[in-house]
Amino acid sequence: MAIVTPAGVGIVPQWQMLLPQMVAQPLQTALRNLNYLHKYHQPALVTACVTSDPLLTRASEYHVPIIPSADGLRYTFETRFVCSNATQTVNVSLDYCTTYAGGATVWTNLTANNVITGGAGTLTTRTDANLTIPATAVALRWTLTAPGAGSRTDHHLLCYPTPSDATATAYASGFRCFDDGLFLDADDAPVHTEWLNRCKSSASAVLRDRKQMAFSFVQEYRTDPRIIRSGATAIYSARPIGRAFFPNQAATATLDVRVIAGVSAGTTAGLVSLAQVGGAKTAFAASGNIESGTLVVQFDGKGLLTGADLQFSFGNTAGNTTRPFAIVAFYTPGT
Amino acid sequence: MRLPVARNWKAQSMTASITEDATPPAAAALLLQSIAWPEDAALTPYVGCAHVFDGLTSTYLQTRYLGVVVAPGAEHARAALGSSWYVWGVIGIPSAPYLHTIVTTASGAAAADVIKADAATPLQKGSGAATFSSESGVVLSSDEKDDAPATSKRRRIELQTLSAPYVEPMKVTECSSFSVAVSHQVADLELL
Repeated sequence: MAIVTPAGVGIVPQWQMLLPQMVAQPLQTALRNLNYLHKYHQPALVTACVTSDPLLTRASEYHVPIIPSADGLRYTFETRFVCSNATQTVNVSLDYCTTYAGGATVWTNLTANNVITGGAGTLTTRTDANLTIPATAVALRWTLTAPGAGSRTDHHLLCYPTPSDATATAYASGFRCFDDGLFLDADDAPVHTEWLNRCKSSASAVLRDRKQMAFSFVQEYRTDPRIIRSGATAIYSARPIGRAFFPNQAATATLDVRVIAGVSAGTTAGLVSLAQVGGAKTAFAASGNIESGTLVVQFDGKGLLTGADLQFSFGNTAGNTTRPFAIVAFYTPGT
Repeated sequence: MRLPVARNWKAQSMTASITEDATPPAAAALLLQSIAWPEDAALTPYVGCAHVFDGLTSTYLQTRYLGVVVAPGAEHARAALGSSWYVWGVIGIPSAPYLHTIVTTASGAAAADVIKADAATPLQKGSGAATFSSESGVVLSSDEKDDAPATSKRRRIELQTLSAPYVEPMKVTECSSFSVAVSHQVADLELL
């Protein structure tokens, strides 16, 4: 009995696909690929080029809504920032929460480390590997402290799944791994329909369980962030367009959208929206909490460059300020 | 030789058992579908996220570092870059051709390896300085394949062709949005 996880996707050679037999191969390669897929299907749950003031001499934090795996997987984080002075100490911490309440959120720490930065004005990349995010988590927080000397400019937060090897467990996502013993026991067990079905059901379960971030705007969480809308008059305007790519997909997809935005005072309804350029739009309240909704996008282009142009907008009510902190959208294959 | 397969998940029933799918009843066809599902799930490139950010309104924001997770089997990529302009400004009008630059690890670090990409031109006469505003456009970087350029030019982004995913570090300049699409996959999967 062995649950083998290949380090690379196993490609069934063409000669094995000509009049294939219902014997151990090529089905064994396909079933082992399920174990590979469980460990190595790694689309980004979060990829955000964060917006903040440059040259910060203070701490900063970013709040990002998430839809993590139902399996409570491990994730790896890569964070990128630049310090003006060489070899500074910056504490980088990552937290999650299961209930979001803005500044009153109770966060659970994933990791916190003093990072020694690189040369003056050069990129520092911090990798924190294999941190478990529970299925009930709803948001992440990325916090950086001020360097001892000089300033810091924040660049990018990346989070992608890096699970351990699959085990003989009934995963909440629906995934089931493959054990070679099913094939290679002393009696040479016959091929069973369930094994054929498992190739699809487990692959589909992994695809649908691991959300892929398709749109991100994340800015520093504070009272006076860089991008705001304020003034005596209510103004509502669109921000720059970004193109999301959905390789080889056709027709439409339904994106899961999450928004965190706040106001200084006044009503909050409908102050933030995400839209496809020339297509559908979904509006959200700037309530200070995580607002949820969906956006159906229609694809342009074809093949690997199939995509959709997305644009968020926000506005203020007269005399008040609106602060968009996070507008993110997640893609689930098959939706 | 086997080519990558274009798999449209929307056209699939994601929950029906494989024996219920509309495939020929032949056992061989069923087996081939069983092989295809995990392979295609592994090799279909991940979504190219539309990152929207302020990369324009300060000199210190105009260079943006990021990392992109690349699925197995990728060979080259193209980027979509957004530019936006301050409509009523009168100074700082960009001169044509206005270019972004993209630097990746796989594409090389020498000056000649820097990839150029056209910027979206202002949509309205009189547009001024680049900023984080609503008047914007998106351009696609070049499809020209040149993995050993003699000089910095418009060309495809090189990627590592691996049998497992990896993170490709990138740097891009002066844009308000950025996304990356795997545009070309390995020609023969058996060589992965």
